[in-house]
Amino acid sequence: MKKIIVILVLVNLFMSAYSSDDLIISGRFENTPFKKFVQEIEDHYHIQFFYRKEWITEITITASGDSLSLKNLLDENLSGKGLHYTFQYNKVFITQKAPLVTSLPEFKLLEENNDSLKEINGENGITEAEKLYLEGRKSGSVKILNIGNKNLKNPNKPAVIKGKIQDIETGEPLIGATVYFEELGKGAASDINGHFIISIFPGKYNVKFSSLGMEEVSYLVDVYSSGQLDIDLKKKLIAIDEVTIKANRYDNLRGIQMGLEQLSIRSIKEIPVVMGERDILKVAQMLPGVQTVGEGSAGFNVRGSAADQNMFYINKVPVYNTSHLFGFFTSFSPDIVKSFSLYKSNIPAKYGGRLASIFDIISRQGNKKKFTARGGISPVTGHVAVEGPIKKDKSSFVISARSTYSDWLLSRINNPEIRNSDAFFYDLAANVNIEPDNKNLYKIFSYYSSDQFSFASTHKYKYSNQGASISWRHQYSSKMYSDFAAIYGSYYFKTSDHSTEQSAFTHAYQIDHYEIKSDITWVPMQNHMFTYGGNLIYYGLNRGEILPDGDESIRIPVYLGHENGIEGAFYLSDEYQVTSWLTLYGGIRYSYYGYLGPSTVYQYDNNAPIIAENIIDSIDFNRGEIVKFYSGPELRGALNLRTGQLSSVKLSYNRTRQYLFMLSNTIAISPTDQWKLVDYHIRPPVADQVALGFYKDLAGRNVSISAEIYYKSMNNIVEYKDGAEFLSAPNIETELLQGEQTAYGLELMAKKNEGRLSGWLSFSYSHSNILINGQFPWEKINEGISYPSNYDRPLAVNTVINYKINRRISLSSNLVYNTGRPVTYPITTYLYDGIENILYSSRNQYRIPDYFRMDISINLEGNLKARKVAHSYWMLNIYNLTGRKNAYSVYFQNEDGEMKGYKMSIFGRPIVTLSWNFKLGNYESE
Amino acid sequence: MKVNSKLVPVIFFFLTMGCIEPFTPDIDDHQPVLVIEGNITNEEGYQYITISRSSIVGKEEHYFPERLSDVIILDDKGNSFNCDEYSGGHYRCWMGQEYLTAGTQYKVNVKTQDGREYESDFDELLACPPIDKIYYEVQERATYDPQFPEYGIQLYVETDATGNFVDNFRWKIIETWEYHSEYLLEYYYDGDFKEFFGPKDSLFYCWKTEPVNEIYTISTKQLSSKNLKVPVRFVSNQTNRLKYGYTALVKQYSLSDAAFEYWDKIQKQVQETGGLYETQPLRIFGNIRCISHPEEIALGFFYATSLQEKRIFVNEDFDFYINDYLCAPLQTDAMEFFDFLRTLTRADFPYWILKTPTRYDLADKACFDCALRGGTHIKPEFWQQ
Repeated sequence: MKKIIVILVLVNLFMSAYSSDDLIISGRFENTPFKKFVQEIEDHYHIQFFYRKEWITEITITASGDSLSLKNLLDENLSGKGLHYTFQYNKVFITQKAPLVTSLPEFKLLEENNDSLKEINGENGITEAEKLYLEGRKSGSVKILNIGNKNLKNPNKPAVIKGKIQDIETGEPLIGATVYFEELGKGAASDINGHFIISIFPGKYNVKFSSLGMEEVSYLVDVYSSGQLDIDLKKKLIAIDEVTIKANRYDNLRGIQMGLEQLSIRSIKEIPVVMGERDILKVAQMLPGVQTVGEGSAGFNVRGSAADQNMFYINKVPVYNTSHLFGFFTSFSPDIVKSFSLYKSNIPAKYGGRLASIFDIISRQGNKKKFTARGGISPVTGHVAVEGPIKKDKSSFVISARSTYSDWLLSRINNPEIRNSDAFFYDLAANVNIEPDNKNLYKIFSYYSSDQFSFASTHKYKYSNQGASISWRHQYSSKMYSDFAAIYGSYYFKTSDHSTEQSAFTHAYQIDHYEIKSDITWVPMQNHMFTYGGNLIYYGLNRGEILPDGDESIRIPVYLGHENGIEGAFYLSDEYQVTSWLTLYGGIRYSYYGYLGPSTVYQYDNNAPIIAENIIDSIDFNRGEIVKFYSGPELRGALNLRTGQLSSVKLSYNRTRQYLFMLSNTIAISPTDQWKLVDYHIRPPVADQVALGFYKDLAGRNVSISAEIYYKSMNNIVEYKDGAEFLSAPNIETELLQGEQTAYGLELMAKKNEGRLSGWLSFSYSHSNILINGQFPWEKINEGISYPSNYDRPLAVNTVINYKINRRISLSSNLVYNTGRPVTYPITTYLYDGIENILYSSRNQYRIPDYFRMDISINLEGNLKARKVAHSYWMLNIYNLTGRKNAYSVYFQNEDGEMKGYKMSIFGRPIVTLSWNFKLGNYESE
Repeated sequence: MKVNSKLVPVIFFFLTMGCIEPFTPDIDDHQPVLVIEGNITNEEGYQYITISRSSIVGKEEHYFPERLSDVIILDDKGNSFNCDEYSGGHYRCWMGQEYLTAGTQYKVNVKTQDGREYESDFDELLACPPIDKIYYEVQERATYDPQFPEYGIQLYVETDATGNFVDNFRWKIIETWEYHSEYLLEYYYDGDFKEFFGPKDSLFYCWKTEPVNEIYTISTKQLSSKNLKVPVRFVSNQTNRLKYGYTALVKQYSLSDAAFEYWDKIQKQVQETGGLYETQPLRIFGNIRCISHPEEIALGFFYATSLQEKRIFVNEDFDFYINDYLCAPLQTDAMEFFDFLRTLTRADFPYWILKTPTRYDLADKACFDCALRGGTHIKPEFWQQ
């Protein structure tokens, strides 16, 4: 009994500090019954009253004015009736005898060095015994954070909260972490620098901060006015007797983005991979809507688009060839990659330049607190990365290197052409982050990858990517920040072909990309977030020269020419939260492009095929002169409609334009494929996409399911004539035709994020068709009839499953099923001059056999001691467990006058690899 | 513990990760298509045209003749030449030298029995420079087994076309080689054991003549010089061609641009090997159209060409080993030989018998008579030994 009294006394004292909330209202009330008054207020303000009817029957309110204090009104009218009231989160509780208890003191009050709490403490004057008593009653605690200046508090004026979410251990920003205001049903996600921004009305809120793989934390946030809120999250420790801890990823329910896929290298650690190379982009192929023409081939086909319609950025540096060893590996070391985001549906207005998708790869930023290193070896490569602070907590660096030693493998392959081949590749990356203060962040990144391959001693290939970016983020006020960047990217290849000595040649090619870019984010008022900015790119292409190689070669040199172009864009977008259940996004990007001289443009006879024989005139353009100018708006719009606590529907429309493309006459991307600018004759491709999606979270938000449908229509798509060839003449317009492409599909995904068993199941059904049907017979491909694209693989089912047996051992498995890609088969055969010849079907009329693969991997972590110098783990991978001989290609070749059909498989048997990785620190170290 | 070195590839796997298997696609709704093959050469005499129908892929038989068609060759000067069918689907027309001049264009017109009419485009006859030289080099080539490379001779053709109007060439090679039976025929069994009394070596020596089913073409348009040195046939030690004497007749054809384009496409199709960087296959149509039913497709190519020939003989004792036909005598150790003979059935008589110093054995007839392996016992007239 004594205890209860103590509590009540305490509570009384306590409340005086807490009931200081107020709402400024306006209106005229003359002897208004309290009930009616409440209705009026509830109608006009975001507030709710709770009381018993019998208490207030006699109360009437009389007041008028523009800025009435609700608190004063209630004080005046309620106190006389022996009633108390309590403000809490936009709710007013009216009680008899005593105010409501809204909060208990902090669990570890003394340890929290929070001024406001101390203040409360002081006012309350709780004795040590009382405090202990209270603490003993309370376990899961809510920490209270105050934002802004109490004196500036105005409940009607939205406050802008900016902040940064970072890893408590390394100080690295957390990307895609979410901040969620429970009472508002509203949240924000952090960007690549860990920054988030949100605008809300002052008040008290329960706020959850979460990020993949991190412990979720909740705070009671008391917002007075605009201010800063930085949060450090702890890595989640998974207890041996596992406790399921919910963590949120990019919140698919609340975010406006559709068709956004995000993966972090951490989350894919256990996924089985070929040859033991942890490869984030290979895992991307397991996501719905991402296809390749075959395993081990470079490039992606996103939602039925050609591989050259994807933009790959690593820290803003464009990468024009993302493959090592022709596509078996990706040209980014697993040690430098942190995560990637793939935009395949509504692409934010700040991105542009490619029709289908943006792969935004983010590197690790380096540990700001201590030096550390990581690395590993697999049968094919060795890799290592070192990182650490330059100045503790202010700046950090990370450098990585990877190299192959695969020659020994090739020398063991029986095929004489492969045995006499050799291959070598490496890549390097370095990143420096400097954060001198809260308002500025500088990033410097540079990247280099190189490949050399000689095939059967007749073909030699060499290619490299290099690039660098410098970016500066500056925060002007709590409502506005900007990003400026200067970027350089370059791709180079050199090849030589000695298959016949008399026509042996070499060819070198290079594309340079120089870019400046600015992105500004501005949150002027609650519920609006504007982003605007622009970029300017200068392209310099040296398409090179075909030169005779070797003493015997009598090949005529062909000068393919230099190309110059500028591409730029301005954009403006607004994300507008209309209500708690409706968010709109609207953006416009206006892009323009100029093909610059010097250049000689051929004019062709209008009524004849565009071939060299039909050139009737030529025009010369001087250096810097605009040969051809293209421009146009790209509209981006999206809508998110919350259909319930755990579900939402989204709709989006997207237009994109592209000003360069890849010359490729092969089905898979080859290292000799040249990037080419659109020019006088070749018009820029344009794509429109509409998508509709439904998203739902289940099982306490641990399982998320989604369904998206899309329809895409593309114009001015570049296709190549049968037998097209790019090395004999500089005027490429003679080898290609432009037409239309349509793609549509349904994508379903179910994902379980946490727990012993995690992973995803994705299903997609899609089609992609091309129609090249010009006016004249020679402007048609496939007689002007629509045909499936090379990457039209209607049915795709992927599962990725990870099962943790205990903290040290986990099992993972992939299952992949795809419809075989389209192929052109011979339909009839005949003898000509004693040789069997075949006539092929119309383009892509048939399909190669379906693809199925199962992989498993076992991960063994080193011991779990907290204090150790280094931690390592082993990974045993079995790729293609069933050994199914999946067709990579089906082809027909003439053997001694007879046509024989063959099916080629790349990985036609189980491939077992053992790899070993290490890092400094313990199991949990990042 | 000693580690078996063969385990290394087992541990490190994927050494032969990829694989290639035969594959036959399912093609529905096959429609036979008319094929016209033929050319005019600059030599007086018969000009040959073959008319056939195409067939479904993967069958053993490829030739389905189109009989009883009316075939006419026309030139651009208004002359026409009627052809007759001398064997199933094979037609010929006699043309005098006065009608075969460089610069003239020719086409073929075919009316099939079902009343359809087909015609080729005109193709121009272009003069052809002579072959300067044919020679060979001994070469080594890698095979799937690194221990055993392949050896052989690479034939080259040298032609100087400098100053000639023609830009495009094709070479066709017809090779002839001598080979021998494994055993001399001395005894045989046709119910009785008998001695063979014919000339002992009458079945022993053979010559075989075969066209090489490889296409060699070149266009000088992308070359800075018309002085050509072109690698053609590689004769490997994996066949028996080089064992007892070999000769190759090289025929050099001049081609118009259209004919070159056609042959080049066929060559690309023949050489297409698929693999990692396969290209979209070519749909090859020639210069034949169905003029009575324009929607119908037709295949083949009719062209005019000038011909030059040259022959090379190879009679060299090579250092490398040369494969030959292998005979394995049927050994009858379980039974006394003559008892064994009595168990044989009459329908298969006669059996040819191999006598060694110590014993008798049965052997395949092809081991005694090399002509059963495709050649002839008649020495070709051009053979030089």
